[in-house]
Amino acid sequence: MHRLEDYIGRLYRYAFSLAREEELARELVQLSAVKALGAKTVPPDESAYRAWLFVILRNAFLDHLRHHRISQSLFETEPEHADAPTMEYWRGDERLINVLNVKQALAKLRPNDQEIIGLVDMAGLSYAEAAEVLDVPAGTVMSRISRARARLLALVGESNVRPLTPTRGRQEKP
Amino acid sequence: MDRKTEFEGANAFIDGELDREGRSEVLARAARDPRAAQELADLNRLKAVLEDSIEVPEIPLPARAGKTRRRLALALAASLVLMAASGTAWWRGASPGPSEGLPVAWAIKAHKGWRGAPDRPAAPRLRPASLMRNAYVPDLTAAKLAIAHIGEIKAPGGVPALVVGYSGTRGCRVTLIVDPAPKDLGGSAMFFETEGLLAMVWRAGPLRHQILAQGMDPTRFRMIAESVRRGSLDHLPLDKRTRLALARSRASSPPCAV
Repeated sequence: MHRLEDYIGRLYRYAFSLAREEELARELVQLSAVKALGAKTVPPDESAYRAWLFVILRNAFLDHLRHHRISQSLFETEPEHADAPTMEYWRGDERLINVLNVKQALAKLRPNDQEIIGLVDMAGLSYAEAAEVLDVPAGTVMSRISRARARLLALVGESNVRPLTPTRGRQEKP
Repeated sequence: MDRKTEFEGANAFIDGELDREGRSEVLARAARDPRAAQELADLNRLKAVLEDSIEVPEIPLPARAGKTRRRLALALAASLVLMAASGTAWWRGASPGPSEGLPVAWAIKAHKGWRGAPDRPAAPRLRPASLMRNAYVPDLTAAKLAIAHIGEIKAPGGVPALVVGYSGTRGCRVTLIVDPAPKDLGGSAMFFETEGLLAMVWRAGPLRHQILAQGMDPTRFRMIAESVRRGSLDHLPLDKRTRLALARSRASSPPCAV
């Protein structure tokens, strides 16, 4: 149990990136814990164990979609060249990169982008571990996380929640 | 180097995925191009914000299987004490008792009868108005039980009884039967167990409610049954706290033995 407990927070963040709601995310973590604890064989290597936990959770989410007859096409792989962002330097105000704007923008991303950010940024998996969870090459993970972040930054840049700029002639309070 | 490759390199750098040579290239580019340097800073900031963007709630986890069984056995024993103190009776036997209040053969037959039905959401058909007006048919999706059957059978005496079948994803089947309560059925709830079939019977106003399940973890069944009973007495949907408790109970219990 101690080994599993170390990953609960990370599993929850990934689950939330998939489910986008607290109750389902919590349930996915609990279901995954039940399966992990009941497994007869467990990968001894820490990295393999980590990826294994996340595969369990991902499969639990896909089972949920199937059971509720929710289309899994949301998670179908997009062609690697499709709809690639321009990758031009964003040039946004760095103060826009805050929790509020990022969370709002995250909710607008397509599920594939949310998932890769969930795995790499929120759960802290390496490219190799994320590749194992998604069953894709590590190079594909690098492409996907880059595109997802580019789209996220573009959405953050469109945010209408702007940091206040000081009015000329007035002194800002420290 | 094309823009796409440069950007992917910057992302891999902040993720710690580059070898020494790759890191040197990215840093060299950042040193000569302020735009590249700002891009690295922004990606780094974005990653830091994302790491902290989701607050993790407290999540109770199940113990290992052996400990879970022992814990459930203790919980069941404790619940039996509580039931005795609250006036809820527990009856256990090889066959259902003869009393009017007990789940007799027709109720068990109704429970087993729809289990062969395909797992698909049931289209509600017209029911006797008097039954449906007062019958409490709860939403048990929090316990991962969906309505898979709605039917009607004849209770002894020719009185119509509403049968609602719930189906779970791990082989669980729960049946709720509602019919007019016999006169000698008291106010206390009664639990039964016979050959793996668990049942609870209670009166809510003029109606008798019977809830049955086969092979379900007893603690989980009791939680579901008590939740439905409380809901039927108040005639209100299950509140959030109850829904959460049902979800947790399901997560910590084994699949139904069918």
